[in-house]
Amino acid sequence: MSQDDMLGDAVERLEWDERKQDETPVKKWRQLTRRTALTGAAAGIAAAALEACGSSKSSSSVTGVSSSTAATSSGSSAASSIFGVSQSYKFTLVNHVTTNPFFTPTQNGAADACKLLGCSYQWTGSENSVVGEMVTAFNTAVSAGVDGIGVCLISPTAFNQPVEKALAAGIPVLAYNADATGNARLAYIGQDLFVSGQEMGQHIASLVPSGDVALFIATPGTANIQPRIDGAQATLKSHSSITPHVVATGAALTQELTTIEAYITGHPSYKGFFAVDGGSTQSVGQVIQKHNLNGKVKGGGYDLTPITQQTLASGALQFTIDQQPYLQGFLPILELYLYKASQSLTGPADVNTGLKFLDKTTVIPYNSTKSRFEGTGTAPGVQKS
Amino acid sequence: MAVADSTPPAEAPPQGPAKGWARRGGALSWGQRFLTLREGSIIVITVVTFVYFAASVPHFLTGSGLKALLPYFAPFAILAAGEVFVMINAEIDLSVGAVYLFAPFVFYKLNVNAGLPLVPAMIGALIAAMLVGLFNGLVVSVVGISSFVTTLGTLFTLSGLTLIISHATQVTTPGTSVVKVGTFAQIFGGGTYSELFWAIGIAIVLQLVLSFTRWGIYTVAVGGNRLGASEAGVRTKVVLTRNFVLCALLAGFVGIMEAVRAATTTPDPSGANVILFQAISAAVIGGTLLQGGSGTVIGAFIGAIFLGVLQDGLNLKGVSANYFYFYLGLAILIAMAFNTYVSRVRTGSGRG
Amino acid sequence: MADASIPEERIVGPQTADDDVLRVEHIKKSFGPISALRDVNLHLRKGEVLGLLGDNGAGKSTLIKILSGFQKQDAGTMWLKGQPYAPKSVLDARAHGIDTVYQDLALIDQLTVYNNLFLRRELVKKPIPFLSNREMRKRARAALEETGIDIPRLDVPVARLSGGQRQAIAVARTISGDADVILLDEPLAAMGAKEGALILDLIARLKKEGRVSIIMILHNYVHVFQACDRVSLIQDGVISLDKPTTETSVDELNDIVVEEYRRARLAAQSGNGASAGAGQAGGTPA
Repeated sequence: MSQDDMLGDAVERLEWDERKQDETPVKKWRQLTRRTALTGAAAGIAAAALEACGSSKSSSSVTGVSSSTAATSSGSSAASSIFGVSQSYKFTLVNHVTTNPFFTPTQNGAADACKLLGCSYQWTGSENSVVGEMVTAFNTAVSAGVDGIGVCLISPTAFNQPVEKALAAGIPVLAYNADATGNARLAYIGQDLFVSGQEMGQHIASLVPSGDVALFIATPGTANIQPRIDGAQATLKSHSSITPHVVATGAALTQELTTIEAYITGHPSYKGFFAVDGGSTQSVGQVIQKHNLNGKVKGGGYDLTPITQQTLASGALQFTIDQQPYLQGFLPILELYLYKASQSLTGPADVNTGLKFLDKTTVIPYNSTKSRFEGTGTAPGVQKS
Repeated sequence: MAVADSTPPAEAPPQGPAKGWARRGGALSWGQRFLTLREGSIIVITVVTFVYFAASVPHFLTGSGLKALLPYFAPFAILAAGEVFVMINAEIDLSVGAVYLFAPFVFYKLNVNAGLPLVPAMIGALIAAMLVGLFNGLVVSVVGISSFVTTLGTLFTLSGLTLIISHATQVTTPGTSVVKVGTFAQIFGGGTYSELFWAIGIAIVLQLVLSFTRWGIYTVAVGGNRLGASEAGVRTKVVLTRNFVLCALLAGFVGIMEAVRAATTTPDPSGANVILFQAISAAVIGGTLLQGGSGTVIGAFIGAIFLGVLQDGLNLKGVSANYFYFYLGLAILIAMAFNTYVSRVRTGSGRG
Repeated sequence: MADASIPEERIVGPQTADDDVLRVEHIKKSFGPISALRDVNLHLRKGEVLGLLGDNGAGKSTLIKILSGFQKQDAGTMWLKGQPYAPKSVLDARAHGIDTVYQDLALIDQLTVYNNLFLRRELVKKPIPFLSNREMRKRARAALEETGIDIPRLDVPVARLSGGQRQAIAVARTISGDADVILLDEPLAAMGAKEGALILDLIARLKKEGRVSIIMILHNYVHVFQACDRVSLIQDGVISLDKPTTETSVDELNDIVVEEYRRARLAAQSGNGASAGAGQAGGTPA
């Protein structure tokens, strides 16, 4: 496909540039972890192209919360000449928890893709999963005539009409992170939240054969975490020896820590403590570590905050789930761009961003690095932390 | 100090036609006299709630259970103390949640990017918080915009600013580590009792200031009768502004301590509003009126304990997540109704 | 160009006496388009009680606020005890010896009697400036006894007290502050006859002691002749009469007021804005 050829060109340019650099372990490490973080050949190569086309000198991060800056000149001229695009596209990503740290890597991915390709994006939607706010943001983008929209379909029906209107107006629409059957979106990029919960349920069952376990959720009903816990409960239902208890921990991280500490110390007979959001997961790890319960109880959860990584490495937690949020921002932008650049000749494709269970060993590379891919750093590439 | 003139506005046994109690003739019994203290009713409610949970929830009253109770209330006791001063002025500070988020990031930037050692960086962050309070105070007192609107604006601006300077990225709080709690962290939020000691110390100092210094008298004056106070020569602008500075300073301090306790500094503003509401609830339940002119720091401290006991108890009891907020709200309404009833009887008039 | 049939407006010019403790000349004050004081000349002799009469809107309260340092005049000069007097604030005026009892009394309902008495003059301990409540209560008791009005408990919020008791506190506040000149804005406004009489007694006693000189704003002519040595009538932002009470009468005051009202009406009708005065053209009857 022509897509591969264009990206192949980018790879050659990258390797030519990198040949000039010294062969250091850092450089090898950088290439390896970068490609590891981005599954799929196309994505990995595009990331390498990013290194080449973007400034390889470290630039201070310029992404704001809501939109990227215009691309650096070398990036945009390379992309526009490769793809034959003369204008700077504007895309909109509509999200349901705009300030949630889980999506910080997503914003980083979108920003990086924009820098690479010479386009810009807007990050908007609702802070608290208010569907009405998201629909309004979506429709505003349509009337503004943006070049493409990515949206988390957290409602089974609310977005159907808006998406149809957008498509009728010639604006391509992709879904990311959350999908809805019956919606006319052109493709879905992400991993189903419910399925991830089910898999977590399996993991829990294997770690805790019988007894009471606690399932922590920051804010019940929130559309990006409720399906996870629903999935876990669905799986655990078929394991009658395990009794799950669902506990709400609160919206603020400090509140989550307080609630989880009280709960864990207050239920010494429970065998395992698991969480479906990043803040609760790190709090579980922190509390188990603080009260020296490593090995005595099992713990696990989602996302990769620094504390989660550390407590996973120390054995307080047994697993955490990485849903690759960087890709959920990078790939939609890339696909929308190619769709526009090819004038709809090359359509978008579904991508399963995958579900990675990380344990004590596989988390080690994450622990020693900081990067935009994980949302733990802001400079390009991967730094030693 | 004799009980009768301990706190302005001092409370005397009800004169005039107080219902029921005084009519029984002679001195009031100790129980009734206790309840005539403004803080009396909230103490009763808190004790009742505490006893209920201690009896019905197995691990509530254990050593580790009580230790786990501390962070449920100590931070909010401090936040509420600052709000009390502002609320007595018949104003309100809605930006405390945003300052709570903002100050730890300033602390982080000063320590990590500017290279300042931990304590100077913390002092720098507290100064930044005070500047926010100064801004609030000047806009309210000099420009004359209502504090609700002003601090709402500050809330949004500061939340956005925090996201910008942090690039929406969570970071590890300086001076902390999950593996070992260092000295700095021990003193400022990481140690088990550190927040409790700070809360008690701050509550005592601020109640003394409120009851026994000119700062406190002028605060009540400006809140009770702003025109009259300025006619009497009270510098109302100064009084207003310094109370906003105090409130923001305490919000920044609590924010830093909590970021130390969690070893994480996070810019997510969706939690900040809950923090704000808890602080104001503690102040109001503790007996500080929204309309100004009257308030108590000790009451806010106890109000914070009440809310903490309630949340801890419901959490340990295993109340389903869906019912949690329902019960919490119900408990707050009942507590306030009781408070209001008692205060009406106490003043012997129709005013609450 | 005044119409010949419209009488001249009466404006009392500057006057002085040797024992003047307070003197103001050509005071002007406007609030936006409204001219509250146009050309006020007034003087107060030592130990004297001056009654200031006038309608609502005539400018009495504004004049008091300027004398007390609460507001600053647009034009005109003031002298206090022979020296130029330009207070920067209420506290500054108090430091010079002028104190005021406002119409709203400037009492804080939620504070106790002695807190209110000592507002802005609190006694504090050293080294930590805690309030000396016991000392303040003692001195408050002494100051209030002088007023002759009975207030049994000093540690209750003033909200609980009657109008007369509250007035007594406000007056005692000025006396105990060692003021030389006391300004009283409608001291008898919210009071019954009995308490009003007690307040007038208090003022008579103060006058007899000779320590203070007093300007009182009143609207009841009977009170004026009962309690004051001299009366000034203020209308439309100027003083239209200034005479010792022994040299004038209720009738004369009435005549002047009615005459001014007629004059203003005629001037307004003839379309001459200048001599119609500001703020009262076509207004309520005097």
